[in-house]
Amino acid sequence: MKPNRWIELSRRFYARLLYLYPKEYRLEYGPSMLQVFNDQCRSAYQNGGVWGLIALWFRILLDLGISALREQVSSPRSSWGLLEAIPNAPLPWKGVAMVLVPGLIFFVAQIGQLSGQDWFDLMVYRAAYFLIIPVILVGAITRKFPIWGLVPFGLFFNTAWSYGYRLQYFYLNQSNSISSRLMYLVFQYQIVEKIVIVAGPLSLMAILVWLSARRRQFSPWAWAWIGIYLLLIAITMRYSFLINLDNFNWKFYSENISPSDFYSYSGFLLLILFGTLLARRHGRLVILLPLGYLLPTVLYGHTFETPLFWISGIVLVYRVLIAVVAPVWIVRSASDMAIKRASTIVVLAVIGIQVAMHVGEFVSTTWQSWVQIYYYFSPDLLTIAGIALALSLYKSIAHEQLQLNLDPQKP
Amino acid sequence: MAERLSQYQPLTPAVYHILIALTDGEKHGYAIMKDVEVQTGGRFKMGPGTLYGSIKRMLVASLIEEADERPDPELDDERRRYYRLTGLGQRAVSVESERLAQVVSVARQKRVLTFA
Repeated sequence: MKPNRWIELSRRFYARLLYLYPKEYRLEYGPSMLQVFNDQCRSAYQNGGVWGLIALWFRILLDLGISALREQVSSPRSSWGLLEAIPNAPLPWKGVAMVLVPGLIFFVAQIGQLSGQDWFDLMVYRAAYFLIIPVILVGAITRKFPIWGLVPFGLFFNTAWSYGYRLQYFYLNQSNSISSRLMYLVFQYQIVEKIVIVAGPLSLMAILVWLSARRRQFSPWAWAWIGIYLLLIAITMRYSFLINLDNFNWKFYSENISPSDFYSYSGFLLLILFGTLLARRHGRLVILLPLGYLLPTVLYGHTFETPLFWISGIVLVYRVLIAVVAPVWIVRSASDMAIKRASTIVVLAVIGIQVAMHVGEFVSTTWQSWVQIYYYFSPDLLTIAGIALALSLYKSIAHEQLQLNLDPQKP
Repeated sequence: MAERLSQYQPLTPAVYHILIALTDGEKHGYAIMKDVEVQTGGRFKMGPGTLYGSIKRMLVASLIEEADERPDPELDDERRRYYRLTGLGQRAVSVESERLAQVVSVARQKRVLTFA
């Protein structure tokens, strides 16, 4: 068959479109794909002329779009560097850029807030919904959770969890809609409220602990930290009772536990336990999950004498550490130990800043009791216990991660 | 081998049809594509992207392998790459076919199929 200009034009255009595939894939299969396309063009033109070619192009464009996206997101060495960390090697810089996106958004928002604009609040309440969309899309296409999805997922979990908390209070105090009446019906009996708000998270935690324990992810240290975390929740929940220790009564304490308090403190723990499901693929890098949860943390507490300039500087350093330095340092760490070191140093630095701010606030108020000290520092203690639990949970499966990354992909 | 096979079950339609196409012997990409069209009465038309994406994954999973020997250049384009089934691929296609046959048998028992 003599060369046809329509076929030749199609062939040239398709050759250009092959650049949508990752370089390695294109070099390996590009010539074969072009040859097959050429054969398809000849057949289509022979059977249907130009209209046959047009019909073929419709099918080809759909096929090309889906398959190129699939190869881009599933290839470990793809040009986007998106999905897999190579074991015992730092994440490529293109992948680092993807991991950094949520942090950069929060950092810029923080600068905006310090310069008198109100971006930061918008970020805290809205960014999570937008950042989770690409993670869901890529996860659905590739059936794998991408590394750069860990921070957005932690952030989304935080937003969704706190929204659930606010939903309860908001609807209980409003009675102008059907949904609010429904919520009122659900929560008017305390026992229902306790079942939903306490038993729900507790059941999820128990399932996750059971799953992780079955995979031998719970080291003695992990058990210890989960115990410490739960103890801290129990103490923090009843802080007001502890103030008056002379009249402390266990019966009264247990009968008056506020389900909402438990709900708010259990979110971080639940997320950390959920991370064990992702640790089989991403190993200790799952520490990015709780980091995403902490990303929108608002720094508060200062002495009244401190100039605003210094406060702004401290807030900015805090945000740089948690939003920019931490994710980059962690994913660029080559070994399991290096990831642990980077996570520990950054989290301790961040909590150190928080503690310093709380000390300022604490010193400037009138002394009440030793329980007051705990009140000021309980969020920091819970964060430390949570991160320590995460590091002890995620480390023991590093060898599984290696195995998994070397396994052939399911066809 | 049984444990290795179970991780690939059930096979995706593209992978299954490619394996069926290769049961006749080694074939190049376009020949596989045409065979799949014939198998399915033209209802399943693969593009080059789906075809070579599946081939890539099947090579990694050792279900197929590239044939070393090239045909006579006078008979065919020597740049074409030929693929053939491996032992694992042959086992995978028969296990999957048995599974599908069982599904069809159940469908027949439940009178879902309108023809014999």
